[in-house]
Amino acid sequence: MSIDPVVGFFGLGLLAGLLRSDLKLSGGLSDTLSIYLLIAIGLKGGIELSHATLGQLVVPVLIAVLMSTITPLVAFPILRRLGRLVRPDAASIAAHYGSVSVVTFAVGTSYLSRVGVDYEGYMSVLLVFLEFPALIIGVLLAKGINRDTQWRLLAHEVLAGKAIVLLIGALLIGWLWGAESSGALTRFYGDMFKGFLSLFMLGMGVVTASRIDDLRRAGPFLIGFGIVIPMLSAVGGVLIGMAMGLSLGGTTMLSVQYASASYIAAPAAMRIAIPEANPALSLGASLGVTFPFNVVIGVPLYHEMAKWAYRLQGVA
Amino acid sequence: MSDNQTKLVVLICEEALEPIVLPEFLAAGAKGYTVCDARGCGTRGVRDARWLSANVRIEALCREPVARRIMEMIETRYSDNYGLVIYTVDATVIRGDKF
Repeated sequence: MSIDPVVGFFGLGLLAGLLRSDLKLSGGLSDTLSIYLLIAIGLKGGIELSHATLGQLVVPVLIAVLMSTITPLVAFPILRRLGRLVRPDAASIAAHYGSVSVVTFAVGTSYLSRVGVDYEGYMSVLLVFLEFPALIIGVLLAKGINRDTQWRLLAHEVLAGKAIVLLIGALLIGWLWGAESSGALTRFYGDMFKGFLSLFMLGMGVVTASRIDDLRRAGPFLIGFGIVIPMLSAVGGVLIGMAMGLSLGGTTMLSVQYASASYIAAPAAMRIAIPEANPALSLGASLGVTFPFNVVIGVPLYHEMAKWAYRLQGVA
Repeated sequence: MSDNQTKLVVLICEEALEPIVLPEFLAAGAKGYTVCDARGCGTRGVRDARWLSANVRIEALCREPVARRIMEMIETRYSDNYGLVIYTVDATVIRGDKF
């Protein structure tokens, strides 16, 4: 188990934030970097998909998406009963944890490439489809099917958001042009990926440091929740990945996605759909606890879990 | 009120509210608005305009009844759940028929 150097940049940003250094990534640079990461992830997936047919994708994507709905449905009663949170807060946090984090995915791919493990190209397709089901479930848990909910605005915010648009767009570009025609692009989006990811992680560290106060408000229950739920989700990911017959890398990436919690798409969507929910709680947990846990300990741990499970299966 | 006397409605709120309230400004009768990023500190904490922590300042010049409708709309529908400050001031404009 070893930690990827991009995580070092996250630690640096965190330290700078805690020291109240003047280091900050401007909104424009953060936006540019997230655009780059989304395109890079989509493009890589698309290029690998150019060898696959659409039929090979439908069943695994469908299973993975269906299974992803378990997380918010399990998290919600835990938050209500054990955490004694009010309904809107519990529903909003459940939605954050059911949705996915693109940057945690990126750290996962970076880790796998360093240890030389390959994964199925359609993992980035999954990223598209794992983002929004949990958000809808969260709104339903909070309000049921309520006419007051701004469904149109919510649907627009999520489906026309840059994450979905860029991931799908880059997937299509990679898939249509394939590896041969997009060679020059892969130098920018592939070879330089880790460099840009390290910059983004630096910014994430600074932002996470600014969330430390929220963590104090969130209390010990949410801190524990932010660690235990991702680990449970990751175990589920390993089991489902193995049952689906994914490769070791694919199973690791499925676990990473199930374990990750959203902190960009979900907060924006929840502010629109469940305004009564306190954003400091959900963001404090997903960004203050789960994101650092996943990138530092989670990703290598989930990979080890998958390796252990595959060895066990091999023995059996 | 002479044609050049209008109200300036200023709403400082979290960015998430922008797409929700802008159509309501127009529906209340405002002919236009100006939006810019804002940072500062208030009862709900510090908004330093860093990434994921943005506030916006929405301004609209309008007639007094429109300003009142906007204030009421914000108070009844959004002030409980969103971090916001809203106020109006008197403003003297040229080409008052635009507002």
